[in-house]
Amino acid sequence: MLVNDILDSRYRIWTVAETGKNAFSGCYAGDLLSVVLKSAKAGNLLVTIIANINTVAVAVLADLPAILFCEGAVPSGEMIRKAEEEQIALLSTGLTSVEVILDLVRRSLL
Amino acid sequence: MITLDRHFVIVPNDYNEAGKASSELKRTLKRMGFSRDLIKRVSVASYEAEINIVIHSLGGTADFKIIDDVIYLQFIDCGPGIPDIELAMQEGFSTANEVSRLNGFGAGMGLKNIKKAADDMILVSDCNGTVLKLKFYIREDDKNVG
Ligand SMILES: Nc1ncnc2c1ncn2[C@@H]1O[C@H](COP(=O)(O)OP(=O)(O)OP(=O)(O)O)[C@@H](O)[C@H]1O
Ligand SMILES: [Mg+2]
Repeated sequence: MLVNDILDSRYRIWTVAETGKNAFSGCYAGDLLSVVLKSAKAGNLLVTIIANINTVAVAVLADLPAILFCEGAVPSGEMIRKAEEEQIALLSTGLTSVEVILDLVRRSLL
Repeated sequence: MITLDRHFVIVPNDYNEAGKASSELKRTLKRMGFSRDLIKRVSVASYEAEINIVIHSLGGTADFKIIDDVIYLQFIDCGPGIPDIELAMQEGFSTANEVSRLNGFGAGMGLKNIKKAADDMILVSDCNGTVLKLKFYIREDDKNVG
């Protein structure tokens, strides 16, 4: 699946259009970064409410191609810069993590 | 032969700088062509140790060395130390404050992740500070992959 497949009126992408072509397979949802490091698999989409520079660092370490911030959390300019440097896509939505996952399953993206 | 020898100062409570040393280490290991598995184990352990110094200590240092087929990471901080190491090693135990939790830290998983990732781990602590030494063996199939 591509990051661009997720996008509709409820989702917004913050990083350069190029990152929309990032492929992901499966997803991991969590707000505790050490648990994300332990459990997320390479290639997963990360769904989280934690929007700070460390979230991007964790995505880099765990080889996650995209982060979807939920419940209205949005990335800072510095996070966007860092993510673009590492070719990671940053997205956001007002939905909760459970709503996101149900939505992605419904649309056969997971 | 020494093929890597790097030293970093880790500033306490600086969430924006947190993880810089480990990110650089990961980039270096990638450049050196090691396997994805080895790079992930080393950089995850390094990141957890670095963050612990940022959020739990008064600051410290990180040293990364590669000598022959072994990667050594050493973290030393200026205290306050870990009063009960056995308790600290338990999954879920955390003294992380509210600010750390809002930043996504404080699951009480970090030391456990480090132990799982490293081939060898020594953790020594008293009120003067904490020393964490980690060892990773570079196996034949970890070389010249990337
Ligand atoms: N360098 C350190 N100095 C002082 N105390 C520490 C240090 N590293 C760890 N600790 C203590 O050990 C506890 C457990 O550490 P661990 O890394 O496993 O979890 P955490 O940092 O609290 O949460 P997480 O790593 O999951 O975000 C910490 O909450 C803290 O009390
Ligand atoms: Mg920790």
